[in-house]
Amino acid sequence: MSRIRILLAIAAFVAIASATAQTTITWSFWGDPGELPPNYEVIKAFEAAHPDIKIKTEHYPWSSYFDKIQTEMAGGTAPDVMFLNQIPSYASRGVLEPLDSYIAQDNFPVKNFYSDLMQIFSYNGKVYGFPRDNDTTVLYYNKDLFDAAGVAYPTDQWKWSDLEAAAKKLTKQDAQGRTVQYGLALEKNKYPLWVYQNGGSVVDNPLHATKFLMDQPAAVQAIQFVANMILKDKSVPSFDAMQQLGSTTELFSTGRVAMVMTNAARLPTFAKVDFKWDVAPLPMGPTGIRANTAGGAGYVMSSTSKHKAAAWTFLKFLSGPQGQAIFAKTGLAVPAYNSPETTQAFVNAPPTNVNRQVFISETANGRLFPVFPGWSEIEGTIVSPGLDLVWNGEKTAAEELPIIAKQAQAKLSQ
Amino acid sequence: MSAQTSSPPRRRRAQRRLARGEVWAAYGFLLPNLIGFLIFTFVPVFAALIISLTNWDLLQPAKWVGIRNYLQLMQDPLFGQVLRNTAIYVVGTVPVQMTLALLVALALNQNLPGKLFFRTAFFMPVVASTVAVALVWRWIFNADFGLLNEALYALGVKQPPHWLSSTHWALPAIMIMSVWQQIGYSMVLFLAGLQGVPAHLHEAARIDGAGPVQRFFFITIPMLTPTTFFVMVISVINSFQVFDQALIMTEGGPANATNTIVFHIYRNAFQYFHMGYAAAMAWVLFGIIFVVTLVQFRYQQRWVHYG
Repeated sequence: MSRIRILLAIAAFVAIASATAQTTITWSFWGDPGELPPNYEVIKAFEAAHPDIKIKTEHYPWSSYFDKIQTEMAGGTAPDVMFLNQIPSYASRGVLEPLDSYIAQDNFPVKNFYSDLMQIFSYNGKVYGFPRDNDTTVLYYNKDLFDAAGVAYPTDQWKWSDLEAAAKKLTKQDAQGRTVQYGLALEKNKYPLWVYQNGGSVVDNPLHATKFLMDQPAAVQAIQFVANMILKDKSVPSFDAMQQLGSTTELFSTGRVAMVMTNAARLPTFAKVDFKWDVAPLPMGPTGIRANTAGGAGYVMSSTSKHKAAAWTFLKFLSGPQGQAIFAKTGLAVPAYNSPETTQAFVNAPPTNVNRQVFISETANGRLFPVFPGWSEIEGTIVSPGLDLVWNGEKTAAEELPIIAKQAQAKLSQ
Repeated sequence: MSAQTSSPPRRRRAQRRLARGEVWAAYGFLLPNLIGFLIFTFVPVFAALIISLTNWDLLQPAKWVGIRNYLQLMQDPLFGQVLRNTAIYVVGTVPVQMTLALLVALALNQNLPGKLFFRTAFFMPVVASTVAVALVWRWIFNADFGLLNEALYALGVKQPPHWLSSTHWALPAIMIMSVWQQIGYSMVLFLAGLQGVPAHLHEAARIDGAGPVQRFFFITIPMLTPTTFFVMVISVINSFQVFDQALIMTEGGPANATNTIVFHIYRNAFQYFHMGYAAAMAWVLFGIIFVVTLVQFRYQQRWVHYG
């Protein structure tokens, strides 16, 4: 009897002790239902390795995520660890925890992240987070449509002129001159790629801009090149029409466009289509310049976290080789952590009949898009609205870009 | 209450007590709504006034800047443009929407077969989600394959507008959709108003030899003015606050052609971290709506007939 009592007492003691020793931290992320399983897999693996830390999740859809997180930040109740983009905007407002001392203390292998990407997660010389993946863009092409039109498949030697010519041949119009099959579909917010491939720049320094440079000839030519494919060749759907016709994903998977430029997140959707397709590197600019996207979201710690030690333990796991490998093997995104294990995990992910190595080689060509605090306002109120007039043909790039540049420069100089 | 003066004093006292009790009961019934109003409308509105005098960015402690946000608004060319867009939207949609709603209400006030079906059909857009409605309308406005341009082609228009991608046609496109969406609500109010027009007035006029047109202009229209006034005030206020159509149909584009005051407020507050500036805009909008509504009330006695 007394033995049972002692055992019970010990059990109760242990239960209380473990309950009080367990720390709960909150982790927030966005994502479609299909993107969530790896998040829960990471939690399972982490909690198994760290029984003293429990992870509570906050999941919101992309459309409302930032309003919610910003409101929580304002109220001082931001999640301990957050999935976030536009890091400098937040870091400059003091809501993120600088991580340099944690990194030094644990010797965290920061050098394994692509260095361009790490720059976006830094502000004023301090590190505020780690990228999860790179938004690498590739050229997906529908082999069946290429065969039907008798056009040779894209190669790694393609230049803009090859792309333009192929897109034209792959475009079909009806009797009234309306396009029923497009050669190529693009994403509106990726315009800096063309500027870079033509040897131009958007701003002098994407992390700390002082000059807006899209009125330079290289940028003007690049924007007009895209506009001509939309307006003259009609081989590319207008960005406005795509709001009805569908995104690059929908257009490609329904066979209404022969080529799209987009990222790895489409792979699982395209794996289900009933035609043959593959991926190729983005074409080079006229003078042979290659450029791709360097950018993506990643993980940060809140400066108001009450459990910073536990948050760091989780952040380290999430962003380090173990967490990154879990995300990499889903094959949805090119891992930002550049190690043989993560690269291999990505390359081996299904669907495997695709030249996945292209994603890795293209990631090496990554160039930063502007990310400094204040850029989203300049882009949203000046650059995008101005470019709308070029995309819809009301103005030429040569007419409109100097106007955009003047307004953007005025904002930059403020 | 003249009857009260003749009642004996004891009963009057009892009635007064009852009246006092009724007052408390009235407040009791009002309380839930009143609390909601105080917490979710009154307090935030005045908090916004204070925020508008700061440079609050949501994340850092706010600094007092006085009326700087308001001065900055006056020099912001984009704010000028969103004001203009919103004004065009209000002036363009409200009269058209009200006229069409009145015509529909008149038609559906007759003893037509299928009257109930049509009333439901016209009211449907009001309860349908704007997101779903906008998706359909985006297809209607599609430049190449849209229903509207197909119809224009058939009517012999050689180059119908590229509705949503043209800076000239995007705002009219959104206005057309909004009119369609709002007719139902005004129609229901007009229908209620029409059914409140006493039949004996029409009868008397008919006996005096008034035709249907005369009866419409000299009985229906004047008797309907209180409803018309109400519909106008509500429509104007709602139209000044246009937001979701612009967000979903065009995201304010192309080139800010469909950017509206509330959309601009939303972007400044939640995307560009200018909560103080956004609050100042919200107060300017409040001021505009307040003045416009005040003017409408001031001039109502010239044309609104009660009873």
